[in-house]
Amino acid sequence: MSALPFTEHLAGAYEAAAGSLPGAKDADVVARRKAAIAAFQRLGLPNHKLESWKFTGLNALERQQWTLPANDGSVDPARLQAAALNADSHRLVFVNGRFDAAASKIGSLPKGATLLPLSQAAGNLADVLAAAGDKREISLSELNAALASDGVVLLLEDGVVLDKPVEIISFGVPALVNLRHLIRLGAKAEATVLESYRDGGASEKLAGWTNVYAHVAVGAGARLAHIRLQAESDAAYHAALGRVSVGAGARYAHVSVQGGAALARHELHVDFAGSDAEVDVQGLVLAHGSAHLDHTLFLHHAVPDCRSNQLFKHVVDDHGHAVFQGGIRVAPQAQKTDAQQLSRTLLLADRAQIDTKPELEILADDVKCSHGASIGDVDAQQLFYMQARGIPVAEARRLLLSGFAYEVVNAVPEGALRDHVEAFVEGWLAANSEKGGLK
Amino acid sequence: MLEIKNLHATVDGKEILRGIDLTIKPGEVHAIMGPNGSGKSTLSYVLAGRDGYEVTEGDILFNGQSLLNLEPEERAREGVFLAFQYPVEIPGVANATFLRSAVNAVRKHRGLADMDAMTFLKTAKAKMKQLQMDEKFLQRAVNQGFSGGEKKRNEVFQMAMLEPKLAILDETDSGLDIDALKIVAEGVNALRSPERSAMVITHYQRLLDYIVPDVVHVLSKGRIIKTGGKDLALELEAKGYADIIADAA
Amino acid sequence: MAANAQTIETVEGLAGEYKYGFVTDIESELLPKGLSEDTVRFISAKKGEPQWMLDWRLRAYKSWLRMAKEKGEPGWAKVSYPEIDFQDIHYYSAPKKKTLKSLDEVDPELLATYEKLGIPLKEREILAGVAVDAVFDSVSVATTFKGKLKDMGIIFCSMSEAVREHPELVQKYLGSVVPVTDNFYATLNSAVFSDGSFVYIPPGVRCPMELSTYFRINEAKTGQFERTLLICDKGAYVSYLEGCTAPMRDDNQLHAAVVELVAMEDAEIRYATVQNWYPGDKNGKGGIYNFVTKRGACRGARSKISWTQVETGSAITWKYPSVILQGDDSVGEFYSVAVANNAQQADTGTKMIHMGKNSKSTIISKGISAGRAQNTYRGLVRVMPGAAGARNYSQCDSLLIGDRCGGHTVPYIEVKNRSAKVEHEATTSRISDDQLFYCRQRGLSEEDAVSTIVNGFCKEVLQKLPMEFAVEAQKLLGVSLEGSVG
Repeated sequence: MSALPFTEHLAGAYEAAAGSLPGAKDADVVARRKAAIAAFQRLGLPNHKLESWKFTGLNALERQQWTLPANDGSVDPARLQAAALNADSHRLVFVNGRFDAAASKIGSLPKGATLLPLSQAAGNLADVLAAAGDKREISLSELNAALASDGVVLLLEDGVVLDKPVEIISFGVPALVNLRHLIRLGAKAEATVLESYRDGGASEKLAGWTNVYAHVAVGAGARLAHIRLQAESDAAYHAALGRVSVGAGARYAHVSVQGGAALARHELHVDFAGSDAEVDVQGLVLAHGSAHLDHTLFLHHAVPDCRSNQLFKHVVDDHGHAVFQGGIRVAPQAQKTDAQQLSRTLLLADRAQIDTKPELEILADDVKCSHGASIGDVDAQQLFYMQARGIPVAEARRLLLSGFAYEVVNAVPEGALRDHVEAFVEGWLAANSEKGGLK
Repeated sequence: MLEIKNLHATVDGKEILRGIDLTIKPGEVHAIMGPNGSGKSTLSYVLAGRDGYEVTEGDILFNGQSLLNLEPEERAREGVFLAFQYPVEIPGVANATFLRSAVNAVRKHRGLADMDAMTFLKTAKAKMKQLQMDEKFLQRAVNQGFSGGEKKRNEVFQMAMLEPKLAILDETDSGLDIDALKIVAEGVNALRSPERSAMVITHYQRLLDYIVPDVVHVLSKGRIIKTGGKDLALELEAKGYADIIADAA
Repeated sequence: MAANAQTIETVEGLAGEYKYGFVTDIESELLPKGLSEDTVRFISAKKGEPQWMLDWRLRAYKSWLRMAKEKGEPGWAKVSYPEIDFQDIHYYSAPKKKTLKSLDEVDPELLATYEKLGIPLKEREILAGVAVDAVFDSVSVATTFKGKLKDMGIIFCSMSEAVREHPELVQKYLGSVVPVTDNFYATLNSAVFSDGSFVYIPPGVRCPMELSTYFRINEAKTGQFERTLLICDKGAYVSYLEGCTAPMRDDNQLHAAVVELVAMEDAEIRYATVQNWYPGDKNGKGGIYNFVTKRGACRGARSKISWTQVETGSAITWKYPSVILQGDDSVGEFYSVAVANNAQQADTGTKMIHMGKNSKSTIISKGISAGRAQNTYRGLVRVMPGAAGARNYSQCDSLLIGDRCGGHTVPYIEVKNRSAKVEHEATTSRISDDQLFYCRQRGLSEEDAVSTIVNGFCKEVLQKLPMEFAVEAQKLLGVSLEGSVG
């Protein structure tokens, strides 16, 4: 292995892989990828000097000589079944960062709907690879633009309603995987999308790094339920950036569950593009071992009469470290904004920690904005009450934790989807409780 | 005392009051009754001068002087008191502090010296006793954490302290049980005098058993469609609004 | 004649807005503008300081030079202003008559100034029970009541005097809470501080009266760099008040003070500030840059430090009175009202660093923005691994008056102990039309209504102030917000 500096090493990895990446024969795409890798080299990895990266460092990534995954791979059927939704869906499975056609099944789509893996979306590639912005913070998404090997393109024309959920499952591997998604809903279109990041099972010890960028545009009056379940191996690194724009009268509901990584960061930027829109973002963080799990949000109320709600819950055990940064900006013209935010944390071990920074920047006066944060252990009185009814203490704790998590689980659309998320959460709690954690 | 002439008023560009004529003489109590949405509360806000309630035609004369160009506080100081249907909460401001500021603002306008703290407390406590209010209410923040009934009683208490010339009671009976209603009515009646008038806005006849009006008006779709004596209220109770409105049409 | 009357009217009008905006005509000794090692040596020599103090200052100056070169002024706060030319400031200004034995020797002009400010320098203060150390520009002018306090073993004197008379205490504690290199302005202050107050309360003594300092910047283009050091020994108690005013001037003036508090076992310090420096005019011309470092250390078990501040003045406020809760069961409190009107900018808050077991902190912050002002609460609550059973409750409320101002909340919460309990709440609202109309319907003018509602909004903080200060603070709130509605 070479001992090249980190950014140069990755630039080299790009050069080596360039010919096999989607769009390798399209000059525009290649130019864009080259510009992106150059931008990444210039910017480097984000670090503590950036206010939005104050609590999360990526030094661990720099210590590893990353390779891009081998081209082919397949997933063990049992593993796929365990990870998949127990309901009819449009399923796109990615293994080794590539679309696995055999494991996937895209059902019949209504007219005006496009649903493809990025590797087959030649006509949209340049669009999909467009930069996430121009700030220093975009270095990871530029790296992603350069190296993206696949992802999902979902385009719905005005009024198109998908009756089945779109299910994206990626199996992590011990390599650097870059997935890039474009989800664009026209006016009054409706969809439900589940992104699942799962343990590929290659090795418990070898770390993989999944780097995801998702661009989401919700048209006027459209509705999108967007669920994200990050549940890779405990050795995994996961970085995701989502940019969402929400049109007038639209509704965007996002639920993010983080439950398996050594280090995971989910950064979400939501821009209100039209008035009377509603955004609900909820998160559940389950940290054990020495997991470092970060949610960073920026909700930008740029137009009047919009509502946003954020609810984040953290269960932190062992040496776990949770980070919640919730930014709300209300622009001067965004009168009648209603923006609420709440972060709650249970610290369950002596070495567990949380850093939270709920930030309100308010430049309009006729607004209702609030945020709250609470940090503590499981309520002793509740625990005692349950013990007094004869419930063993471990069981009582697990029940209380499950109740704590339920509020977020409940934000997932009812039915198979919610059952799926709930099963994961309950499974995590049970497994940790059994091995003597969550005390 | 109060002369309302061909009063038209709009809220958000929508005409709610469509030509009201009404005269209240000193010492009289008029009841304004009408179904929901007839413009009763709008009339009270227009009289008190609330922003956003625009008078497009007509005039309101109070002792011969037009109120239209006066700010809400100027009307209050002239002696117009509105007991709110939904009294507003003001966190952190003690009832006593608030009321003393109000009493002294009104006194100043009348050329009287400020009421000193001792006199204020003595007067306030006496009035509270009449209204069977706990003295502790003086130290609590204005209307904050008050029950519906407590808020209404607090309105009547403020009225007693400010001694207005014209009291407008906007659905003061809503949310009150029968005992509270009696107490509030007694409070209002205690203020009745040949110099003072009142406009009692209510949906139900019940309150008028206790505050007996001299005149009853029925308001519908922004107009007074019928005027009569106190028996009109009983007739309304018996027949309902629909019949009266149909008769008048 | 007409022009004359008009001038008087104008002046009166201005005085109504900022009534402390007069300039006192006193002969003063003014060091030429500019900052160099010589400036530091001059100040130190002027005060007859011992060598160790000069060395300390010079170390600070060298650190500051390095900071200025490497990073410059801190840029993370939500305030903006043109870069300060540190060579365009007078670092020393003192009224000429010096070394005063009694109040009778104080320049009558100066006494008249304090009278205008409403500070009880003479007999009245006995009734009020306030002992005042008045700092005029850079020099502590008179410390009253010294004799009475001395009998109890309490030291209340100017910093210059303390350096000379109580070197062992100063050497032990100066810079022990705010290290020399803590931050850009604190380091500058350490190099050039001219005077300030020093307080030492011996073990077991309960200071029988409120101690008070009144700061005033009079000279143009003068920086004021006071240094206050307050030590409350085991089981002692003191309540300290601080007030600030400055004349109206078109250019900005820098005020970079450092306040250090030390509370030993079972000691309690209450520190209240009413800050009413000149905020600049409606268009943001002039006003004080108030860049202040205030920090207290709860060194001993069960010690308590309580900061209360009412910040209505200054063009820019950059201030985070903090408490380091080292002792077990120690208590830190921060009660703040910050008003920013017109073009004012305030970035203020606190840090509560929990190290001791069962340490508790409370933060109540009320920010009011009006005009085009920007008002930011910035705070840190940090619970260290050893701070078992730590508790914090924070409440930060912003009130916006008008649609051109901003109210921001940036709390950092870092918890590394599971048995800690931390709660934070923040709200942003405006004065509702309903509340305004309700008050006006009862006869209050619009301005009185605003003032009443704002005072209600700030009540939890105002009631923490000593009575005389609370009354002044309430009036200040009203005055500061004049012209903010309508």
